[in-house]
Amino acid sequence: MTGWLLLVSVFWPLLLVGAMGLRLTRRFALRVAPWAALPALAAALLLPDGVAVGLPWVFIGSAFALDALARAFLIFSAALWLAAGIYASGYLKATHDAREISFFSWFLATMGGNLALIPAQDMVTYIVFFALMGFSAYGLVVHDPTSQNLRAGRVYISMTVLGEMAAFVGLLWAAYLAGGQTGFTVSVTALQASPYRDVILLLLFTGFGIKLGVMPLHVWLPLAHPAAPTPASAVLSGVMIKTGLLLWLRIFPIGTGAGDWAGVLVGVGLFTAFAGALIGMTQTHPKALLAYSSVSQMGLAAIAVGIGLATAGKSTAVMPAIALFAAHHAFAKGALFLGVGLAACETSARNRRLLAAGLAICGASLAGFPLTGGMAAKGGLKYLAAGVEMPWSGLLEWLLPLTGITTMLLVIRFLCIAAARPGEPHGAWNPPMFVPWAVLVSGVLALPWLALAMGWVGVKQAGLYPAGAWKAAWPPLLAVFVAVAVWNMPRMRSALSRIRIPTGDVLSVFVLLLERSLALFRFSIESPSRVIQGIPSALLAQWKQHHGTLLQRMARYENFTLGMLLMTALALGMAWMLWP
Amino acid sequence: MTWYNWLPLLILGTSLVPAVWIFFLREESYRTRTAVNLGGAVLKLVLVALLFAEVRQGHEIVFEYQLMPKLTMKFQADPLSLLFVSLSALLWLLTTIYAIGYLEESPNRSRFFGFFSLCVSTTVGIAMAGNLITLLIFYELLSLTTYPLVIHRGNAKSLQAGWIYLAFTMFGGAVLLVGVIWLQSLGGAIDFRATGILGELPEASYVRLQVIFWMLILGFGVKAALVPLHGWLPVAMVAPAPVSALLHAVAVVKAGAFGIVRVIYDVYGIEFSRTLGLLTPLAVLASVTIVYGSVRALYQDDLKKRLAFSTISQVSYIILGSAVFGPLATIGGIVHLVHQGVMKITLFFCAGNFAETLGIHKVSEMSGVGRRMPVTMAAFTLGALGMIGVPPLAGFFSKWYIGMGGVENGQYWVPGVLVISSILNAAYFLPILYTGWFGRQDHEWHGHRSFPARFETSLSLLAPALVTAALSLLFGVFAASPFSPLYWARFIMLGEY
Repeated sequence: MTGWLLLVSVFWPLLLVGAMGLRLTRRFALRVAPWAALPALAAALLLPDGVAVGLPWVFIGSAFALDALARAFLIFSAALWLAAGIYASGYLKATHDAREISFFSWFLATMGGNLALIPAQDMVTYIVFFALMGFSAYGLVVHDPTSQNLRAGRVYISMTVLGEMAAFVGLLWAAYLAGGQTGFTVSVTALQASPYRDVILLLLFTGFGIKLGVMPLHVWLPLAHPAAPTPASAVLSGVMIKTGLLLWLRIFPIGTGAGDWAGVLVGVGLFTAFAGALIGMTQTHPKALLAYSSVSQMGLAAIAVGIGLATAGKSTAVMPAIALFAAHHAFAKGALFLGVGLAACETSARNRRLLAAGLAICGASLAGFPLTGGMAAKGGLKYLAAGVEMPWSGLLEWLLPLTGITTMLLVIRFLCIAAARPGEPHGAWNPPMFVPWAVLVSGVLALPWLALAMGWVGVKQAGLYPAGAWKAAWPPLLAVFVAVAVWNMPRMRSALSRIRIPTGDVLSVFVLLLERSLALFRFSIESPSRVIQGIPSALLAQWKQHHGTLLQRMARYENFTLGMLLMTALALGMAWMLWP
Repeated sequence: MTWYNWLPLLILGTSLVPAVWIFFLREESYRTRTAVNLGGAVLKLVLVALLFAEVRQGHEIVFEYQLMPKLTMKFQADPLSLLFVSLSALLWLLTTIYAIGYLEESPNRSRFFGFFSLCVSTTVGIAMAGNLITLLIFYELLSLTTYPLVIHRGNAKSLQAGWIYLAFTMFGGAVLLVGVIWLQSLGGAIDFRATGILGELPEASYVRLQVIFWMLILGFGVKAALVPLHGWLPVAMVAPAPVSALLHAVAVVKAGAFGIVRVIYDVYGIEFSRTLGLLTPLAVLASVTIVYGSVRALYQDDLKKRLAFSTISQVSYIILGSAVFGPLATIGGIVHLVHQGVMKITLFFCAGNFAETLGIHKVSEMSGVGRRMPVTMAAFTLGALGMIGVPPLAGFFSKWYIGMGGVENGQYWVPGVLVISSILNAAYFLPILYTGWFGRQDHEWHGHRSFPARFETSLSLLAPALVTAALSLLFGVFAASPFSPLYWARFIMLGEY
């Protein structure tokens, strides 16, 4: 019974998409669409532990369960979707967008895919809804069909397809190793014992790393996230990228001391964390900058997974720490994106100050400033990293705080751009836009205390003691100092502001490679095909030249007769050969 | 002989009798013709259901009739033939409904429906053939009965296409004939039996068996459009939409693929085929076809031509799955027989709807068609996504099993081929979806005729497309249920290993 409640609540957005398609129920669906994530949020908060439902007839045996990981992901995902949905109803009014039905159809389909994959306990169910989410989000990216957004859409869909492909091979291979079974728990054990473990992990790392945005698989992300309408950007950057993370957590051998893969993930993660922040600073569009910030933060998430792989002892602490990190990023990044939309609205000076304060809080939280959710999230990572034997671990100890500096610099740059209000001004500031944003900001502040109260993290882990707070405070403060210093050096400032890296950075390299290989491919396929096709038609032409009139006459009247004659001849021949 | 042994013959009759009857009907007797057509199709479906029930009770259904010494006409209902016969019975019913709506008020309808029914009879004959000779006879008959359908429009282009079609199939048929007779002289009567019958032959004949195998593959490969024998298929798309639908989904192309499956599994036997070293070259050939067809499809602007090249590629999935040794690949290959059928017929139905309703023949003319015909476009979308292999549509599960089979057999390039093909599929299907849904109308549309305003097009054109689109989704969503093709394919596989 409770299992079915879980199913209905995560499938509710998909039911609404169906209702949107029928004229009879369209008005109802449109009215409740902003609240579509509410049942899932309620289910995540209220349903007891161990809720599970198996659907053996669906796909090749499908299973859903609300385990601890699913519950954590479902809470922050549904919460941000809910906030974005309510925000969207105000945003569409403020931007005078009449295409409500189109927007909410894609929005709900994407939401349905995202929410339904979280409690999925087998690979096929996961990838089904992963695909639904990925393909539906295309409609959000190109909602405003400018040529720039269409390009972003093309890049997005290409990378989505590539990701699906790597994921497809990785998952089917893992399923094969598990004797055709697709359950996560079975395949994790089977994967562990297999000599092909590394290839499969590489495939899954690539396939889902594209969604997560680890470098250099991130090229689509800074283009696609800003292209979507602001509420959709918030969920794209806030929760949807974390579906890649969730699959890693489901299938990677966490807590088994897999040092080699830990090295890969930590290495890639560190690079992503720094490069994402540095490239982000050269962006001029606030949403593009935030997208780079997401890339950078997901680098940290990759580091977290890497640490999780390397740990052998503290494995029970790994999942809560990563979930807390993901939840914090969802709230903070969601609030920052929604704030970009609010900043473009007409409003009073008081509201503007409030907005600036809220954005500053969220930004500082991303950098792990004391007493914010970010401190607890980062503190958890540092706690995990301490004492874990793995490649890079010496480097990690002093590089991890440094990410706080780059993140804070990025945030300061963001606040400067957002204050300048670029782009088209929106209409009036309205409560459906403001309230969800304010709730998310308070969530960012409340998170460490909530986590503490719920027992997800200990005091020590969250760094909620004086010395810990100081440790968390110095990198952001140093960043502020650097920013102020640069601001006061006009030469330096103008030199730095001249650095421009095109959004999507190495994308152009990708595109060039793709175009070259496609051209080569086409040439190598078409030239032999011309020969293959040429021979029969040349023969036919020759034949026609000699037997043209006869052929035409037969074609006009006697095709069928000829066929019959041939057939009879064949039959006679057959009879003759078979006769004893 | 118990009554149920007559079932195969009765099923054959449900389309043979209407065919003859329709030939004698006058052009104007629309109602009678429709009644005979639909009556036959429904009756066939009922009889197939009955056949299923009898087989499920464990009855062995065989019908034999000796034409002359050493030449026995044999029909049987084994799991594989049941799969194919139920596919063709179901899709025939839908295509008949579609064709009635499609050909309304066009000339030569009696001729068309007569041959249409004949074509289905021969397909059913192929499905239930119990030995190689019977299969061969119906295979040849299929070429002849589809020819008038291909040239139905009677213009120069159709006639040209008809010639190319005949030339290719006659050549294939001749090679097949020689191969079958040679095989018969080696191994006696070639009855189909799970795990094959040639394994007992002495080792001295192995070389000959290998040569014969390739002759048979050549013969069936013409219809299955294996590269380089595929030349006729893209040309034959000048046929009316219901014919293309039938050609690409159940009748001709599928008959070729079915023939190859029979040869591998029930004549040679999968394990014996492996011993002879026949499987890997065939799998490579199928892979080449898969990639080649997809690449060629990329550059077609004509919608039906793009679909035709897509068929070349997709049908070879069946052959690839069958030619990779191991139960998982076998499941994938056999189930794709059904999956490709429902998905491709959906796409051709939709292409026909666009052409009839709005006069759209090219992809570039489709801008904004999703607004004008949302239901047809939605059905097309399901079919196209299924072809790409987006889960949970039917095509995904075919690929899932074929890919797992490749891994199982240590042929790691098999998933690679699937990936390349899927990416190419995405590259030629997604732009169509984009143009249809997101494009702005930039062409004036001129339909061939007007339709009542209640639906976006006539209901008899819309409903079959919707049903098959729904099937391509349901076959995937409920893949593990006992009513799914996947379940049945697994059952067939159990008999073959």
